[in-house]
Amino acid sequence: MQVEWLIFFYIGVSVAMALFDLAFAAFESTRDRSFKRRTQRMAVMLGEEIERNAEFPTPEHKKVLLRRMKRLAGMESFDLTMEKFIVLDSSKAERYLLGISDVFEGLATAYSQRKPLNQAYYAYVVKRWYRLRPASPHIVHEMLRYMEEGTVFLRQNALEAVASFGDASLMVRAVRILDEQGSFHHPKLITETILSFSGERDALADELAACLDGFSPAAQAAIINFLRMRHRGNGEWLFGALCDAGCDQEVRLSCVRYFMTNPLEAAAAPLREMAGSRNPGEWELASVAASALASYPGPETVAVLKGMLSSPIWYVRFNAAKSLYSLGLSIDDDLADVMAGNDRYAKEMLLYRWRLEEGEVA
Amino acid sequence: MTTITAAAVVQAFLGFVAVFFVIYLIGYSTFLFFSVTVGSSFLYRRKRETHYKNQIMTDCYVPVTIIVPAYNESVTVVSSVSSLLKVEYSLYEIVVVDDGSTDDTAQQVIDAFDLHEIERPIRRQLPCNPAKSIWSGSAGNVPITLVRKENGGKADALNMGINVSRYPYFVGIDADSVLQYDSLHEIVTPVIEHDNVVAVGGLVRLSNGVELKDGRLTSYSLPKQVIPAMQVLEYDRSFLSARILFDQFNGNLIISGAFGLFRKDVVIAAGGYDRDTVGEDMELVTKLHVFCRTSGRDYLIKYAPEAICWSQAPATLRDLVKQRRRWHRGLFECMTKHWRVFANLRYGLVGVLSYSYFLIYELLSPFIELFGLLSMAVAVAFNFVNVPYMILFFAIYAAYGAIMSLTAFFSRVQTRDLHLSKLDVVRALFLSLFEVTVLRFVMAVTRMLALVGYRKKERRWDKITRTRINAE
Repeated sequence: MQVEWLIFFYIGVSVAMALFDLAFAAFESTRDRSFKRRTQRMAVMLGEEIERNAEFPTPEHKKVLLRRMKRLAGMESFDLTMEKFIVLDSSKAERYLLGISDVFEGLATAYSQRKPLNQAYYAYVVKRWYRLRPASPHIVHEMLRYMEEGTVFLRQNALEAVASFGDASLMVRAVRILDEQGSFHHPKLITETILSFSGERDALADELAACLDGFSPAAQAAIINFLRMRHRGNGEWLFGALCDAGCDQEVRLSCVRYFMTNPLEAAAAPLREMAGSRNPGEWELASVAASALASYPGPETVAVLKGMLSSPIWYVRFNAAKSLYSLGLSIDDDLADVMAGNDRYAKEMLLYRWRLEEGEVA
Repeated sequence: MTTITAAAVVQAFLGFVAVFFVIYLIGYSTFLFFSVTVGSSFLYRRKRETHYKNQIMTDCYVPVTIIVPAYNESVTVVSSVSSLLKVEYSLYEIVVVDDGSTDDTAQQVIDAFDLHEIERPIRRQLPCNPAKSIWSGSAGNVPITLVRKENGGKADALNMGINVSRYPYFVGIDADSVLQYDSLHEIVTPVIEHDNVVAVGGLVRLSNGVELKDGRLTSYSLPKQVIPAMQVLEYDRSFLSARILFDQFNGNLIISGAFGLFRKDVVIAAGGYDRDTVGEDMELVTKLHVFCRTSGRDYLIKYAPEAICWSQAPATLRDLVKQRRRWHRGLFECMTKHWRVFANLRYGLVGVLSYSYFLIYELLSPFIELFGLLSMAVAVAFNFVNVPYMILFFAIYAAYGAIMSLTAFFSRVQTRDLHLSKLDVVRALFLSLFEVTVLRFVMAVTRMLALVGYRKKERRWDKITRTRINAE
């Protein structure tokens, strides 16, 4: 009898799953059709309003738009429709988008209590289509709140939305909030988003450089990478971090890369010292410093790099050989002593680098 | 009197067997139910998230080395490497390791990508057979390296690839595989989302029956041949769903050798691929669990079903049997090597659930099923079987298995926005029944016999007939 119940249970599960498969397929198909119809209606509505009233969309239009965009499907229809209009007539579409800025503000309230998935999509739509500058304090408040408590996708979309507002002080505030909230947010995401900042990037770089001390080491490394690419930053602070053995290794690595792209005469000596380190725990610093020395030509640098060719660490030898090539040395004259020496690994690495470079040039 | 006693003993024995199999089947059915339900709901949730831009869209420049171990792959290696060049990713290199092929695999690569020989020092961090020559070149911005080495097996070739690689992450793929255009971005995404990811498994889908252009799917249908078509259903039910379920508690023990991303320093610290096993992919992942848990390291091994790699399924029963024999031997070697993990609380749910599942329902299942068949024969001999009831039970069990396969299959089809013809839908219905009854039985016998003639430290490559992949 008990086994029969088990069989009935299996039958029940099988039938339920089969019904689920069929119901879901039907639901998907109905939803697709309904979405297509809704998007067509949205396209007609937006198209007519843009033609009639691009600069001053009517309150009735905005009210309807707000009501529709409160639903995710309506917001998606808007997103897809605007994508087409921006291609057809970008100046008209831009004027229209500016005209409906208060709709986005109404949506900020509507989405404030929604699930993170909905909020992340709202943040994405704000990034793409919200044009009022400076941005409304209500929208800014919501974006910053998303960064404090959201999923990684919500935090990232909100950060990108803030980057699109083009306000340097606000961007610094956003990075700080992201840094202080408890969840992991990859430093590479921070660097890439700061790089996409739509406002004055040098002003942003200066603001970030001025308050580097207030960030965690991971955020500092992300910001220094941005400063490196903008060729800005507080040289004194960065030089101090480079020389401070107690400083976080990721921050020091970022500083080494910074001084590789932005050479500073005073950095040559600490970089040479770092490169010459035989401490196994610091091989990454030594390896990156070997690359950085390509920006500091001179007999002392060449001597250090030659010494590094005998490092037990493969990457250190590899980068040292690369820098020696970049410094324009000749393997037959300047490096003849290494080639005539007893270190087979050093010779092999030099030969490999020269053949590789010459092969690539060929 | 003796006959009555013997019958009583047999009845008691069969009673025990019945209880055992009820528990065994409840366990498997529950696992299947959970894996398909969790897998399907996960795929639907991810589809919704991706649809509404809940995804990492920024290119994060995580440098990746793609390692392509190859042995006698002259038919597919060039199209495979060409497909890798179509991948939309900003920072990667390709390392092809020719493991002493007896055909012209290496020459095909050299000619197709205009490589030149170079004296390159190799950092031997992992054991592998010596290199015979190294060739270098590039296609666009993507550096290509070819290493010709002495034959040593797939694990040996992968270790060589790791030694030669420049970047901190590597992806291992098979030489007959094609990566979808966004697969590298997708497989790297878990590394961006979490700070403690040491490995990520991608989704291996069967390329039989599909057409690809520039790494994009242009036409999808079930393969015309029965054997690959049944494997499509089997892959969705057994691999996709189960791996998503295991992923919920960081318990995946397998990342397919056809497509997986690894953090190089952790793999090197753990000792790299084991050259003495034929199931090097599972062994490495199990070893990473053991290594990270033993050393108290906070770690995640993730599964990324949106990172897609297209791979050829064996098209004949003979090749399929060969492949599954090899898989079962690999499973046996991995499970016996890491037996300490079994039900060991030190390894958390990996020991209690994942290892136990693989032991009972994968490694031992052929023997348990054989035992079941023998018991049934005894029951029939003593007339203890209610035949109509038994047939009803098997029919329901087969229908249950088929519906689970179909649910997993249609979930994947719907969440990837694929369109099946009506004929394919009908074929899927029949194939799912055929798969749970016939193919499953054939595979059980194959696995049962897999260890016959087994030799330890066997380092052979699979010799499966290759055809050109339908990819431009």
